[in-house]
Amino acid sequence: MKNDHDHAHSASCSHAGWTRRALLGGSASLAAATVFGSPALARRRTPGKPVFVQVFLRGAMDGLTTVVPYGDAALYQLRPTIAVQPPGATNGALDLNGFFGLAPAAAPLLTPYGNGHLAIVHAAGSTGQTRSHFDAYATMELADPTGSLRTGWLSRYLLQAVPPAPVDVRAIGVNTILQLTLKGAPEALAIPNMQQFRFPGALATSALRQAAIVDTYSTEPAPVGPAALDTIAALDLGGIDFGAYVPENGAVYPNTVFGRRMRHTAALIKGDIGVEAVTIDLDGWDLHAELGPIDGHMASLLDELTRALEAFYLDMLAHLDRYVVVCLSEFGRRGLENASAGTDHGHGNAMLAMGGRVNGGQVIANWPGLDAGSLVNGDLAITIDYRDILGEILQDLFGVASLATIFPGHAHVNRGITT
Amino acid sequence: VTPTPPAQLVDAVAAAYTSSGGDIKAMLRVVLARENFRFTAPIVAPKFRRPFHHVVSLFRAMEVRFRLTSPSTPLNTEVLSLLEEMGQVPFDHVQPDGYPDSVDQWGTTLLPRWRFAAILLHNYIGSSISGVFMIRPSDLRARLGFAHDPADRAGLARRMNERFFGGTHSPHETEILQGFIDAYGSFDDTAMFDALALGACLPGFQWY
Repeated sequence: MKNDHDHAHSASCSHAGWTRRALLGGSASLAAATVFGSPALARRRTPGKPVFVQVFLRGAMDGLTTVVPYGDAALYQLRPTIAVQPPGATNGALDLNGFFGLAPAAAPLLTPYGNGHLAIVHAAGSTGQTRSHFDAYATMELADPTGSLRTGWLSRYLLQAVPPAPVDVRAIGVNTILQLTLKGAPEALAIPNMQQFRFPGALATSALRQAAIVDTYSTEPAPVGPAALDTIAALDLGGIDFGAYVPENGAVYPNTVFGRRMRHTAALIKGDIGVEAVTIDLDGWDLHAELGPIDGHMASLLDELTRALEAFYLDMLAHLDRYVVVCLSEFGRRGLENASAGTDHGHGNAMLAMGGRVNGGQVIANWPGLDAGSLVNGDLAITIDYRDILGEILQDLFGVASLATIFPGHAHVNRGITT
Repeated sequence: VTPTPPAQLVDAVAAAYTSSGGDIKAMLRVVLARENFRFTAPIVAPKFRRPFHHVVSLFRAMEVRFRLTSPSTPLNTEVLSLLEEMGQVPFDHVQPDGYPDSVDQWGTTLLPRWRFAAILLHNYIGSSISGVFMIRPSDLRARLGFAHDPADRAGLARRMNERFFGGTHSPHETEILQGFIDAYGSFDDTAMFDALALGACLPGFQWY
């Protein structure tokens, strides 16, 4: 019975030769410009610019576990039970440069690091003093010390970097909610699962329903109205078949939501539909108790993160100039372990940057030390502002001439993160 | 009291939290005290439904009943999966600040809620989501005053708005929905659910 109905609909709806674009164009003049920028008309990315991929480690990742400063003896006084031991010890760190080492669970990072395509920045972060996750997100992602701007730093880059030709979607927050980093960004959408970014429901009436949505949403105020029109325009994401996508070089992504999102991001970049920025979150790092750096929660998170990064690196090995990945967290953890074998909210942290033009194979740090006289309120001090890393990448890889509007009030210092 | 309470009320609740050792009743007494109700701000602008609200609204409109897989599984797992796609699984927000509650956060992720409406209402034959049962098509037709007579199509979008969508559609949205209904060659039960799915996607139904 149902099939009969569907056939009837097909017959009744197809006679007029409806197509999605024709219907959309005819139904909503206000939305015409956006709608006609449908996937078939998508322009390619700006030549020479990579896609910026931000991986935000929400909950405050413990950089002293991920990238262990085993050469600083004070670490083992602060964390007598949870610090990763030096290289050579049982479950010891994997040496990077004679002073820093990776947690064993982060071993997959050695692949891009050893090839010179992954750099680690330590004692880095946002110099804001808050210990609130949410205030720290806002501080870091908006990067607006004046509090007067209502946009994320990445949005401000996109607003000033006008693409050479219109595109359907310029930025994707791979999330159910658009991250603050992309707040106010042009043609930015939250897409939790790229594989499902297709218009749902009966195929026979799909075009009519899209037209109705464009018509009715075209007068809705921001953010709803523009988001609806951008959604319709970007449907199918250029026809990329995310479900059938096969990673190159035998890369195997973790079978997790984060792994899937990184895999889809690789497919998206190769699909070349004009997306300039992608933001992905990996949550769960707020480990106040039972840190588990070797076989517990932290190890599990590190395993998921670093296997996904390694898979992405291998998958994109022939496309190294087409992306730059930056991993960062809102703040680090306190130097001292707590009574629950965990760590509390701190300050300085580690960042990661990966890509063909990243000056990798090194730990960039102006190490402040972990002795009592060097800690700041019990925390690792910040000697490299995270905006220096992002700013240098924007200048060298994205051709940004001035960072004044992207990072207002910040005096930029080059840290040698790019080649 | 208000989505944006004044600092003095927040401070008073914080003081109650501290002095009572986190007793919720003590904090609510402060919030609901007569002197603090002067901060009450009537909602003068509609709010954007969060995904859970959207789902429940549609379930209520469609008189949904559940058949649970087991007493130990109090929520339908398929519905939970759809809520996960939309970003609001109950009691699953990792951070301690609760799910956000503003259009700025939810208003840019529309496709998953359109998808939910389509999944629930398209291909409706008894139960489009396992364990979820909606109003019977015959009851639906009776409620809409629609008996497959072509003449019954007139004003059908208006009746859908009045009897299923709580009057949330604007006159223009009703006009667009009616145009969609009129474009059908033959308008059967499947078409009726297709039109309801579209109605659930229109902007008016996203607000309350």
